[in-house]
Amino acid sequence: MADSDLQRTHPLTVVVRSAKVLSQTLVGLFAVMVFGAARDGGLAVLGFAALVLLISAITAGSAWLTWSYFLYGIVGDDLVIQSGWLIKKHRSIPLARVQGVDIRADLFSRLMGLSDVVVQTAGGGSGDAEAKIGSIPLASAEMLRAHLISGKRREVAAVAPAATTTAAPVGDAGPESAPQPAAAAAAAASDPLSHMSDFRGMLGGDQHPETETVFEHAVPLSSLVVAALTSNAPLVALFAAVGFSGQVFQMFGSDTTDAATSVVSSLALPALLLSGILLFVVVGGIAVATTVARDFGFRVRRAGPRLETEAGLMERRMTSVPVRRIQAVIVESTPLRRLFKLSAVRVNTAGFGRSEDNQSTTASALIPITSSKQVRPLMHQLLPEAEQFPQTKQVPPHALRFYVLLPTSLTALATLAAVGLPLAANAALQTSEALALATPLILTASVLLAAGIVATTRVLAWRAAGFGADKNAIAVTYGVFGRYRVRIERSRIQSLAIRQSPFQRHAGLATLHLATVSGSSESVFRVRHMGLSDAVAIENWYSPDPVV
Amino acid sequence: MISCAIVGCSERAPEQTVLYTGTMSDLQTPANHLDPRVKTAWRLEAGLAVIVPLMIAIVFPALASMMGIPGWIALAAFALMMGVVILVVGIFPEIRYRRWRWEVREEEIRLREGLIIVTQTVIPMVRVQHVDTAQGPIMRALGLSDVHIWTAANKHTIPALTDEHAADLRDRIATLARVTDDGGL
Repeated sequence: MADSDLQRTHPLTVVVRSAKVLSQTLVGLFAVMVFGAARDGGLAVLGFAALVLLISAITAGSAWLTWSYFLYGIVGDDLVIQSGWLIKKHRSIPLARVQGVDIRADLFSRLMGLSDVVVQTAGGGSGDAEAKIGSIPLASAEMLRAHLISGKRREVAAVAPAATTTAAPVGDAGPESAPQPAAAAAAAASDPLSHMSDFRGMLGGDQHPETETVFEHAVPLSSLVVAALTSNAPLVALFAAVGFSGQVFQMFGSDTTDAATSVVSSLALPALLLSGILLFVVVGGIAVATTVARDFGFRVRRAGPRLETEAGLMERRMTSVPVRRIQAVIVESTPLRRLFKLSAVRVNTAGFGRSEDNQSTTASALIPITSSKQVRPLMHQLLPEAEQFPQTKQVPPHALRFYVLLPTSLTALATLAAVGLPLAANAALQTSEALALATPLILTASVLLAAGIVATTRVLAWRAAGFGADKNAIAVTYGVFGRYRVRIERSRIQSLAIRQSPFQRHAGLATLHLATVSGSSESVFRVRHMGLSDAVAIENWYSPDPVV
Repeated sequence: MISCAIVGCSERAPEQTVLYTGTMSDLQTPANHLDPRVKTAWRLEAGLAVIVPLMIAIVFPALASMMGIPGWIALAAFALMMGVVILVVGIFPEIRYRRWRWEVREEEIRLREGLIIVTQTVIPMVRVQHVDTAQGPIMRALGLSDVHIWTAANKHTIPALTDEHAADLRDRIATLARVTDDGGL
């Protein structure tokens, strides 16, 4: 292979990379300068300027070296990437092994008309599961993506004019209301920010280069806000606020023995409540805003054998996943979403997941939010191959004790130790008769409360646990307050295992493990404490050489 | 009788018939045992792992009398340690050996293993990405090798086969996996 087959990224890469590094370093340096100026005056400012110059020069030099030694190209049936000026690295990725291709561009890159291409290969979430080609013009990125996702096909798909597309954003409308260009235009007009969500439109590229788009689903801003509000983020913020208030209350509460402190405490209680609420609003607001910004302008389209998504306000990201690379489809209703009959759909693919940034959720989101009723019609349009979930049945009633007994007993023991030991060590107990009398009550109440909560959640987990298979796929359901349904094609299950503890053996139960390939941690799906005969039936269903 | 909800039915076509049924007796045991010398290898490995705690347990009674710790505590600690040693060196390898079964068929690999929790695994040949053999110093001394079977999701191991047997099995699995390859994940 000759190096002439390979090419460099855009020269502006040096500027983009330097700017990113400098923007992160200079904030810290500036803070140091401010503190230094307060103490040493002008000398610190001079020192700061010299340091900035030095760091800028080093950063720019390093960025230039990295850029000049980075070469990429498609050679034969491989994507070849050469990099490194100190340690040379040569990577060859067979096109047939490409799991998906992302195009990403943060705000700075977008202003310069550049984008990154991130190639996902199978690798179980390891660092090598991704290959990034940074900062190339968007048109080149689109062409490279076309090469990569067409597998061994060398020809680049012809770029079609925007007018030929049949795609239309349809909001939450299902297939009953067929996608109409007019309706799409109306939907776009009703969303004042919709123009910002079109990645290629913003950059002056072609609206939809693929003529094969058959269906497009755009999620309006209002739905994304609902999705963020009903995600787990506000609940986390609530717990944080309650935890914070509890800590502060303990600090005040322990100091209420004299009258003066008591007055202060009585005044502090409303302030404490107010600060707790404020904390919840601020933390929750930031979490919701981050989620909305991440999913902003979310669109998913089915383009022939591929699913393409784009989303993001600050960093715009386009993901292209060949349908045959999808390992599992997950329909999820978080606790809040269940209340409002809302669901989200995401897909597990081999490459995405623990990537270098936090975009894994977006990478795998297929439908960020929709009404539960609309899941099936939307899936029918976007992913008809996985539209049908096999009917499921619950794990047997006598499995309930396996779900409840052990976790509840362990929790009761842990609570007994956590509450009982400090109480026993409390010197006040030795002197106060009233406290000594109250101790068993406090202990019993704590243990009952903790055990009751755990038992309730375990009963809910038992109720949610289910499984079922049809000819092509298996469905697994689980959850506690939320509800999750997973569909895995039989051909995507890498291995199947049946596990039995001695207690399960005695009760005729087993735990089923289905191993799939996924960049995320959620790659093994389990059905705990199902009937052994059902597990054997599933094993026979899966086995290429079944017993029956 | 397996309900139609488990296999063979779907939300859209509940009238489809049951494809497979299964009973406890269908959880068939793979045919082959490991090489019996694996027990020696496991015992040596376990022995190396417990040698430091064992030494502490041996010298503890002497130290305890010097430190004024009651003799029965030192004795109980020693007895406990000896119990652990007997379990991990003497009994566990024997149980593991008896439980461990494997079978390589034309279209799948079946493994059964486990000391307390027994796991039976099915790996379709079409899902095998690659296969290799490996041996550590103890295994090398005993002339044994492990066979590692890699799928895209995880690694499975058939431990302690004779070197020749492991090499043959590795080549056989590689050949069968190539024959059934479907060209990707």
